[in-house]
Amino acid sequence: MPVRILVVDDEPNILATLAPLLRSRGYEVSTAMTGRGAVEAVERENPDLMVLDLGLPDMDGVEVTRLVRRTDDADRSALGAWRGR
Amino acid sequence: MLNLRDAVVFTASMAAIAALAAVPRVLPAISPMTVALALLLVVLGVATLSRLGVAILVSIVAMLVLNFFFLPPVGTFTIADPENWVALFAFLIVAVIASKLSDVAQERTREAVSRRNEVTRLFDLSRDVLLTTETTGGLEALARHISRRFELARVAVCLPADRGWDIYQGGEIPVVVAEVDLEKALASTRGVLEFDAHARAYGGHVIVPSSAGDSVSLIPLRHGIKTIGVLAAVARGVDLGTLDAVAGVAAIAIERVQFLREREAAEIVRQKADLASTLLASLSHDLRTPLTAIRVAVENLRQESMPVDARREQVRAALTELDRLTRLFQDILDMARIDAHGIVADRQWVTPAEIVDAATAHVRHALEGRTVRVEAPSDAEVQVDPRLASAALAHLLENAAQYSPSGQPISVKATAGAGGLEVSVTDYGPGLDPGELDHLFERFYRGRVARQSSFGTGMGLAITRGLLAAAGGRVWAENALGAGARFTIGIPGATRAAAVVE
Repeated sequence: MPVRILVVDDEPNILATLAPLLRSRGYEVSTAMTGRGAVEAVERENPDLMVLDLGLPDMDGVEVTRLVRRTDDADRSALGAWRGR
Repeated sequence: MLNLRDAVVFTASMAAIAALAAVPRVLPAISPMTVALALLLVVLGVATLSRLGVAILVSIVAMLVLNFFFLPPVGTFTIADPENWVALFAFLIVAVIASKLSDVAQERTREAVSRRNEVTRLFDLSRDVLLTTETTGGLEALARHISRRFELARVAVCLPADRGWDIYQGGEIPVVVAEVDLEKALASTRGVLEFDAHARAYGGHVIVPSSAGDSVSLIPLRHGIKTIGVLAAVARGVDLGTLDAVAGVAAIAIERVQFLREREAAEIVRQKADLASTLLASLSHDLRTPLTAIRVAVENLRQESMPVDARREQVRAALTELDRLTRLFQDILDMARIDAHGIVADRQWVTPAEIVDAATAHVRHALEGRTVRVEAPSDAEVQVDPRLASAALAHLLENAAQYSPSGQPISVKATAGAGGLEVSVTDYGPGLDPGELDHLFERFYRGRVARQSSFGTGMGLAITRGLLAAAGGRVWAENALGAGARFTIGIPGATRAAAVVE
């Protein structure tokens, strides 16, 4: 089963380039453009890894991580890899 | 000269003496000694209330009256009894002594009042000085305060400058004093600090004749033992000690103004540093995002297995981000040129339609998927710099696209009229917050929408304003009725009907 990665960024061109790159490396990739969307995607798809932009329109990356850690299954924490400003 | 007070006292004493002379007619049994004592009281009163001259005059009259009416032989000025000479001298001596004592007391009072006035004025001056927070014009204000508080029509604060002297005139009439004299006054007081207790002043005062025929007092402005300048004044009615005290307050005031100036300069430096760090933070994000996207896109394109559609998408993403970088560099460049005043308007005859076309072409990508309603005449020409005008307009178009929901149209209306070229850009977004209007054109100011998202450097409107200023024009913002925000640029320039193309 491939590793699932969630890429979160409000820049469409970052998603448009980063997602194909990761897919070509054999990962399963989903995307989100807002913090709220990221939290929903985590609940829905339960990714193994999240690549998160710190500056999102609705909330910052730290807030997203906090929400994800709270709602995520207790047996496995989501790993946040941040692409900072 | 008799003043009013002396005249009143003299008249009253004459009346009193006349009344005493008439007493024996009413009371024939009265002793001459009683009358003599009463006359002495009158002389004493006059000596206390009036000047010495008046007192002596009154004492002589009193003596003559005593002699004529009371001393035997009555009715003549002859003095038969030598004892009566004693009475005569008693009158004179009482007059002189009482007058002297009174003079001394009056002098003390006058001095006390003048000291009090001086202290009050000095206090007022210190307060004026301490309440001054302006740095430009602070020294002129100081000179004016001195002139006003001490009623000096001619007073000036003179400070040595890099070349010559800076002279701040405070009174209605300028003090004219040669720089040579100022130099001399300054040199003679440097390192010298002696206090003259009698004059209540530190040494080093110089009095020089001015070209206007007055004598000008030059008082060193001292800070500790350092002389920082000279106070020049035509001192009428103000003594040396007072001037010295004024100079002391003035020296503190000058130091204070210089301190305020330094603080202001430090504040500017700090603001510049803030600006630089804001710019750096903003730029590092705005540069990194496109660079990351381009780098990843190129990485993707290296994979030969990628389908053609996906490759096209990568190329599109890379090109869009390159456009963005180009615009960003243009912004930085424009900003730097505005800061360096390196923008010179190059006026040409153009139609408003050409300006709008050039601007929309410039920000094509930002306007993608939008209807831009253009109303711009091509039958009139206006003499403006087409590059500056279209660059300024392009920023407004970009802004309108950023701050109104995608899908909403943008209206552009250009006119060439008596005032030159005027172009307004109206969007159908949420409009401007009233509190925003003051900050819109500040560098790095970003609207609410832009702050929530990551786009925009906050340089656009500041650049617009800078470009227009170079072209002699301006930009202003308002909320349009029934629409969103409206930004209008106006550039003065001559207009004419467009040449017919054959």
